[in-house]
Amino acid sequence: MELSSTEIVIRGILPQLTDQKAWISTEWMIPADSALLVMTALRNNPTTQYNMLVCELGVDIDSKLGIVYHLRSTVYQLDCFLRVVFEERNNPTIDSVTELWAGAEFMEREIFDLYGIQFTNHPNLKRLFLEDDFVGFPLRKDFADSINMIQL
Amino acid sequence: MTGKVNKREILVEQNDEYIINMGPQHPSTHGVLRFELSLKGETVQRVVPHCGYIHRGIEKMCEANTYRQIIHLTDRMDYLSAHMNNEALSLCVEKALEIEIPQRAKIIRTILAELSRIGSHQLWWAAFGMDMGALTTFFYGMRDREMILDIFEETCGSRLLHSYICPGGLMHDVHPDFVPRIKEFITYFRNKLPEYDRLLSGNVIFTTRSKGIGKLSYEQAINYGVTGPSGRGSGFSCDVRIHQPYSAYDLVEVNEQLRTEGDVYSRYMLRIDEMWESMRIIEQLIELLPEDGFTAKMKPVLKLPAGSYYQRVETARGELGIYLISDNEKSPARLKFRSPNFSNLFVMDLLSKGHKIADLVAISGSLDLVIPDIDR
Repeated sequence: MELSSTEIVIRGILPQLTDQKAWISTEWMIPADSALLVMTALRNNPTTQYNMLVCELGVDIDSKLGIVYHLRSTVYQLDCFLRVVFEERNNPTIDSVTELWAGAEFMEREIFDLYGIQFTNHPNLKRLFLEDDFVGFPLRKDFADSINMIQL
Repeated sequence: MTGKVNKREILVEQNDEYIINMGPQHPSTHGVLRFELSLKGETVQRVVPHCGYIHRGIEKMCEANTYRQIIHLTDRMDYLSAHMNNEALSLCVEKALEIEIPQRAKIIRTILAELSRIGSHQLWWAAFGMDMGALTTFFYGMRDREMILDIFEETCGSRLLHSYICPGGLMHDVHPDFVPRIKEFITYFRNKLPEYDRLLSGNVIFTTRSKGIGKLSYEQAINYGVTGPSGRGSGFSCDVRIHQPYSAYDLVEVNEQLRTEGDVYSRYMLRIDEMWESMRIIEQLIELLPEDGFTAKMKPVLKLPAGSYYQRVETARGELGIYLISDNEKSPARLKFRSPNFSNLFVMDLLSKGHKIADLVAISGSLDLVIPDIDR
């Protein structure tokens, strides 16, 4: 089977990687400490040129926090999904990708606001939607609010 | 208790930044959004948007509701593109269940989506003229939008929050008058749209205030992820209807509208062009409408197979992406809306640096922001 250009770039950095065929395109599981390295390569490599960050979303699946990056190359019309999973829930930390895509700044602020994931080297990491003295991170599955939440 | 009063001299022409809040109740922010402006004289130095005034936690609510209930929540995000929001979630659920819906439902969905695109652009044109000081546009825009809302009311019983498109097709079949009334509207609006140009597009005051203001370059549009008419005004080809056709867009000829100047005027003209294009699409689709079948056979309770699904559609403001992660339950484990307005808002700082406060209103108007879509 011929390798896609995205796969070649990712395997160049992380040779031992496995992928999950669940999304429309292949979804790649990336370790948190090499996420910035992989995305820098994907953005700057002339064969991929992922120049747009469509979306960055936090997830809380199987009691593990994570981030999904959706990258798009407007040059080659490629879409690529990367997933980072954090082993610990107390203080998950990852490098910010604001330097690569300016649009990431506010997406990361939203993730910090609702999931409590810390981003290093972020220019202005504050809550985006909720007030600054809000306690807890509401989109985590273990968040409980007996007054304001819908219980079916 | 003794205190000490420090005398401080305040001068107008000093070097300090002057901070002023615009909103959350300001009429030209089109909703509850607050801009924190740093001014020097009348020149804008920095714009910091503060969101969250209408944050309802829709994504959290989705995790506790069934797929049929979530349809009603998607209406409340970008309420001017309610049909497209419904369609996006319905397409995502149908993709997960691998259901093929009848051709008639697909075509009606696309017609309704294009009608709401026209309606949304009409309201935008009405409000944008008013932002720039031309009050008459509001009456023109509202007058013509009324016909679209009447069609919606006859079709699905509501004028703003429709919840008409649902997984499997449509809630119920359209009114028998649906086709004649759309034909009537197209004939009517083809004559009225040149009036828009005569009233505003060629106006000297308007063009002077909009040309060369708020320039967004092609690279910046991609870097910030600006989609929809705002991105296409900078030459960024991002129309999902072209790049990944869904529903009935592959049956008809769709021309992507592009302009390369990237200023307020180019975003303005692009939306006028889109209204022409939408009318052409509707005219082609009306001819193709088959006789029956408005919904596929669906189970009353929907359970999606475990996995993650993604679907994008083009709303009136840009690309709406749905990221759905299911764990084989009645409600999703995670549902994320990639809303176009969220990405479009944060170029405000970039666009308005160095311009006057009056231009700020023109710039935020030209991005066509709907605030509930940003906050969700």
